[in-house]
Amino acid sequence: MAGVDPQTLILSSLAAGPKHGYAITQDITEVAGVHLGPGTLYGAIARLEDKGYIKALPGDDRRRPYQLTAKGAEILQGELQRMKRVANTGLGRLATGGAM
Amino acid sequence: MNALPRHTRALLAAYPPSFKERYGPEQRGLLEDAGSAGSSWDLSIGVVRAWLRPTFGQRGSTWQRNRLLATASTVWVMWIAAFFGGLTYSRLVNDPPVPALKTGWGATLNRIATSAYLVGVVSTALIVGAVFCYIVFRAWRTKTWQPITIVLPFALLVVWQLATWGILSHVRWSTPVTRHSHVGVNGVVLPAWFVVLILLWVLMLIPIMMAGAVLPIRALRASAIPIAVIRVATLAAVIPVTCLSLTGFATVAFVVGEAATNEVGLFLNAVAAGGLAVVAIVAATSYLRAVPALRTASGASLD
Repeated sequence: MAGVDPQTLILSSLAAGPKHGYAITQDITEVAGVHLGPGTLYGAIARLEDKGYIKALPGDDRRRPYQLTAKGAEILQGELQRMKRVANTGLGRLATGGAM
Repeated sequence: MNALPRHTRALLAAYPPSFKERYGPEQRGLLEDAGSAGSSWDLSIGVVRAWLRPTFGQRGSTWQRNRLLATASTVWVMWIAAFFGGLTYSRLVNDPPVPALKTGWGATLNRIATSAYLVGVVSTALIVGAVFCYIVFRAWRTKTWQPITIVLPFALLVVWQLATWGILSHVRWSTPVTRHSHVGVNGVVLPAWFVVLILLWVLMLIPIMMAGAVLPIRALRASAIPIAVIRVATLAAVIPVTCLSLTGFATVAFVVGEAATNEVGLFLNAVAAGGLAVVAIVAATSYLRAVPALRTASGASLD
């Protein structure tokens, strides 16, 4: 079963405040139990930056912090609401005896 | 902090230049902090994705420059591949000529493919030649010779190949053999050094192709060429891209028609035509992605 996509995980991590790459991977591992490799992480960061959902803050070239933008926060809000609806619906159906 | 293994460094180096410039130090920093164990597969997938779906950061002059450079580079590499692919395809269908070439549709498609190929080769050479004249002029003015030294091995290889071709042509045409004679046929045996030189000439095509695909792009990136010049060159590249699309379309259509008539040697023709079609699609897709960057007259107002 496919999990939450890396972009949503990164946006969720940055919702708590600016973080650099290493801190993002640690946070995601802690919260979601998913380890993002460097290829996946920076591929997703590049795409999020490209869309204007996150922005890089000034910092060390090797540990540049990223921050959620207003547009990114709005997108994350919508995505999490959608996931919440799906989760609630699924859990509700399980509770009413849908499982065999 | 851990030193990175050689294969990890090689994978990081395999990312597209614009990605490396932007995220390379961070990726390296992360790998050194967290360790690189088990990251090879993830990095390999990341490299492929970065090449297939490049990103260039937020809109601005850096974005425009990287986007245009990426498209110009892609079109150039695709034309290098098409140049050799086209020669191979031409050899396969013309030597000896497949019967479909004589029919109306076959002859028409072959004419389209050949004309588009020739126009594409000439226009690419003119555009690249003009850009490199500018780079040489700029290097001369600023006394910064790095871009020239980067591209020098490729230039020397091309000169060597042209010189060898000249010698071979001279010997070939001054030797009394008929046009379709081969070595040792018709009682004429060409000298051993001639045969060795031919083999060397053919083998040298491989390093030339590789150097041609890499060095001019590295020189272009090292030249700090203004966006306006890259933009004009990329705008002009619509001609080679269109020609490449026409060549790919015509060769594939020819091979499909050829399949209907069950020609001999169809498999190799199909492979060559398919290769041309793939490079045409890659070049056209990259060009379409550059359209937003081409619409902006100058990057200066974007930042």
